[in-house]
Amino acid sequence: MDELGNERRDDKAGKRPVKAYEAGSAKGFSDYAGPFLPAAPSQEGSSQDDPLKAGTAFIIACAENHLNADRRIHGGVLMSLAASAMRGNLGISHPRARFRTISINCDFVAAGEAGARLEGRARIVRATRSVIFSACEILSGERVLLTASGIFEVEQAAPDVAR
Amino acid sequence: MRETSPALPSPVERMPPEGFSPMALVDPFEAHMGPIFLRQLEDQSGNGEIEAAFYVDERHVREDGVAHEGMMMTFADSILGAAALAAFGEGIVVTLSMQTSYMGEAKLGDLVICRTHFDHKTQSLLFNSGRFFVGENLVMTASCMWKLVGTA
Repeated sequence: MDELGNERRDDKAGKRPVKAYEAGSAKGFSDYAGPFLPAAPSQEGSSQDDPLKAGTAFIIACAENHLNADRRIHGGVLMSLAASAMRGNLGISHPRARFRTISINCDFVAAGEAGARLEGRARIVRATRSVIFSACEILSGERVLLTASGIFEVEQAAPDVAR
Repeated sequence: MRETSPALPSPVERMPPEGFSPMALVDPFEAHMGPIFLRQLEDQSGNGEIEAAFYVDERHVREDGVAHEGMMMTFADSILGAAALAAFGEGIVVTLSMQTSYMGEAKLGDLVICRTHFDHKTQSLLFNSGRFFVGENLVMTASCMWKLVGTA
């Protein structure tokens, strides 16, 4: 048992394991809450040369920690994957810029089942000098679970962007 | 979210902010990200308006030390869901839609406090919203639509 008493809690919580966690060990939200991992764009015909068309994908293999009380995937996991996918996409298309998130809207189209492998596909809808509009879908196989849109403010215009 | 499941422990222990007490979290993902603290408000309307808080720690932030939007939305989902459930009295509610706007950023170590507001309810739908503060600063607003899908 660690000093936080995780092992004792595992027993109390029955079949739900409390994921081991030690203070100082977390490497940020995307790792701890996910991990949300970048994946190669799976869409055919996406152009790597054009960031407006090159979609990026982020994936998560859902575990016990990602569920709600009904053993469906928690909405927070879907929204988090969408946020990570959209931000990850911006990091690829605008590698030197810093973005401030202004808006994220999410619609819950279908429920995700325990054990699913989710893919978040994000793309840029329009990029201006100061604002970027993104869209994202979270998929479980072919099934759409969540659609999301985001607006991000560009804090520093990178020299690369204008090229 | 449902009312009848047993509360789950969170992997981090913290003293609640003054006036708050630990919130019983029944969803594994919320327990995983918690703890979350709750303060009961004088609820004269019976529409389930609540105040809740969490401390931004290393599990909640992006590389730049700012609270990840996913954590802010998860917190919003948890609190506004609890408020929706309280307004319906019983049953199971699922999120249909959530809109979030970001006026500022919560950073590592900050205490984020959410105050919920009941907007409208039909037999099976509920609309509510939340304002999220760090100190005096409004950092986020969230509007949420809930569907009552059954009884617990």
